[in-house]
Amino acid sequence: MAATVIWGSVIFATLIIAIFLLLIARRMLGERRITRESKAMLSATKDLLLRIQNLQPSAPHGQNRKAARMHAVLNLARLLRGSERVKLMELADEDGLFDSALRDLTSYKPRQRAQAVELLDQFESQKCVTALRTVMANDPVYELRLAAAFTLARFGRLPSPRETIAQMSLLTNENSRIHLALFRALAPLYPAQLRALLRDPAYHIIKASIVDALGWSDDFTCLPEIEHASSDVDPEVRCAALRAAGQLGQPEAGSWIIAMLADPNVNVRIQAIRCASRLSLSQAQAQIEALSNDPSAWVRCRADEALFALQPVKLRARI
Amino acid sequence: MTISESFLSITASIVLSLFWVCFVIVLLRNAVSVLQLGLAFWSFVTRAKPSSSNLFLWQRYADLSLPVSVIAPAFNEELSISQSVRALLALEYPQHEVIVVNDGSKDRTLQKLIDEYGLMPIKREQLAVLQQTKILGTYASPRYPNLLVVDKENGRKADAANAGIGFARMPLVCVIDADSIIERDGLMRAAEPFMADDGELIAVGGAIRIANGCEVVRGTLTKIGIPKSLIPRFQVVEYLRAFLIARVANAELDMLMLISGAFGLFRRSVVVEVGGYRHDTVGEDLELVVRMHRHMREQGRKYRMAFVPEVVCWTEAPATLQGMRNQRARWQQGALETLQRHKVMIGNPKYGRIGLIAMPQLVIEDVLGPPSELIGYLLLPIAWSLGLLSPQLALAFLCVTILFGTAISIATIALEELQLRRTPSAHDLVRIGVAAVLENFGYRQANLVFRLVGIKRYLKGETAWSAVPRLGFSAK
Repeated sequence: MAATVIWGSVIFATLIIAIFLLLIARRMLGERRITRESKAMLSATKDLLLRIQNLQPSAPHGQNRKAARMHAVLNLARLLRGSERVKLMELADEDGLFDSALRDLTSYKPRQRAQAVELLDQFESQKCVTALRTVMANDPVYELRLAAAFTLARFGRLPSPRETIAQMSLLTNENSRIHLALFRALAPLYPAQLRALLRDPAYHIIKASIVDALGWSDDFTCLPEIEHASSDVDPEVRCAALRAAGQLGQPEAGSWIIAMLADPNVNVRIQAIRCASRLSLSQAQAQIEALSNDPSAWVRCRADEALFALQPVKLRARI
Repeated sequence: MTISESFLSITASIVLSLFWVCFVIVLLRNAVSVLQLGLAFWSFVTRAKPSSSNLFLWQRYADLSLPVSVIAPAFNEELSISQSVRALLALEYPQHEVIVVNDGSKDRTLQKLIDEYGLMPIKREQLAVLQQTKILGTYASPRYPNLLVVDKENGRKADAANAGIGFARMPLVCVIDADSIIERDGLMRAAEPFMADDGELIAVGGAIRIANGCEVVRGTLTKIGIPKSLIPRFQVVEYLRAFLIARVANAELDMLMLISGAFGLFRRSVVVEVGGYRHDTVGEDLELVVRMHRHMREQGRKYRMAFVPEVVCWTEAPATLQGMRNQRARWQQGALETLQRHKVMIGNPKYGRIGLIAMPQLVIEDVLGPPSELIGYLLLPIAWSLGLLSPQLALAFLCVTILFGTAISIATIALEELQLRRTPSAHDLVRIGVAAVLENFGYRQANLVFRLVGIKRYLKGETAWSAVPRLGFSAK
């Protein structure tokens, strides 16, 4: 037994130390490469900037290594906006910089696919958007579909609400905050379709998420639907209506928001206080002051905070 | 056989048996370490790294993030409190309030805060009274509406944290040490699991690293470095082992037993429900997590505790052996107090994997392990010189302690390099690697002695809190 233990320990330690030495060597090489690549990246950046302005670079752009060009694109993507950024993405597409990442999206290894999605997260080209939509629709790993959906949401390129809801299995009332973010990302893209979903009984289970998202549509014509939702029997939907009204920032919603300060549900009262504070509804001050004596400690807290926000100087010492 | 021969024979049998027991326990600890290493590696390989799009959405829809009350108990921190609070207020998080609890400081901690932030006395309702000492006053700043300072009589860190939790108005509470340096986006990373939560998540721990040797400017870490002196450098290796291997592996199995007092994020309602931190233990952070497990399981409620392996916080490690002794003895004493208080859970199937695996693991790690290894080191030369032990067996013992210990430490550094890569350079990697070897010759054994001191304090029922002297951070 002793011999087994000794040899086991020696083999284990040797293996680990060998791996560690390899990692040190890799890091050293990487540090040397960084110095070399910074020059290559500088040159690639100059070339790309010339090509964006439809000028010919001094040397063929293929001379720069793909990795250097990729880094250059990543850096420039953070700096450029509008047509210059679109052009940059076209050039990256043209040079086939994402080709290996696009291939990796079909790898059988989930980790490789995840890395590919993470890389494509930086590139808003048409090719990448199409590939990410395929991942969102078909990848067997839910987390990967979600990562693709986030990226598309960031690009403002999510598919229609019905498709997104189906592909991301959002037709459940147990959606997390992260799912709520997806609904909100849909709102400015498809406000009319979201409003249509509100009328579709098949989607009533996610009514609260849809109402909440309408606040992010930047479409003030949604206000009647939001007001209608404020009288829903489900307190979650009423809270969502208040959040949406607060986000749209239209003071004409003030009358029904103030009425909701007297809602029997604690969470709704809290949301109503927040909404009134957000819209600076000074006409709600009396009702909010009354809520400073609410039986719920949380309502009292939020009321105090709202009063602080509405009249910071006068009430500062009291809160 | 004469009486003296019989006596010698019996003594020899006892020494040999004791040595074998120690040997088996050390082997068992190693087996646990290897399993944890494998699990941690698996967890890193399969985890979904936080994506930038995810963070982007979170920033865009800030109100979706659960608001956090950051609670910083402070005792005699006049030299650093202003900078620490400034760094806490500057944390990248959509909605957070900072509650500083002045735990009866004898110096000018409170006055410093009043002067620096223009604090004014206010009346604020305490939603839950968890502390045992008297609240002397609450202060708010007109310039920083998300800052609250609570002044109270001196208790302990647990009492101060409880007072802060009582004043917290956010659904999540993040309890830290006043001298913890939180990464600028550390709170966001730690709170991220709550974004995808279905309501079961009650606590999140995050990886903590040693700040000695790092550059700290105005309470914010600006440059990662490696400590120059060996004692803190050994602790860099220890922290890596604890946070990248043990915690990650335990979290992978839903058996996270410790969320460090230097940084822990909790669902406020659950902490209040269990009564907050206990005041009568020196290991209040471990005790709270074990009690939360017990509470949730006794009530049959579904729950989860998660661990974020990304670095969220930096803390100063003791730089002297005396400081180390106080800290390690306290940790050991705290672990034993927790095991004693919750002994009903040990091996009890009613508590599921916590009772059947995690608690026995704590027993091996904190009750049996340290004395066994130390006794093994002491018996080794005795048994060998008496001819009771074959050289091969003696060598085997040294292999499972020193060689195996070195291998596990280096494997941890390798894992860090593969997955997180926060070591500044290849040169620093070598320096930590060398420390991982050297720590097995003296430091490791000294640590075992310190833990025995903790066992002695536990057996004597000592309740005093041994302070750990801090040197402060280097700043340029």
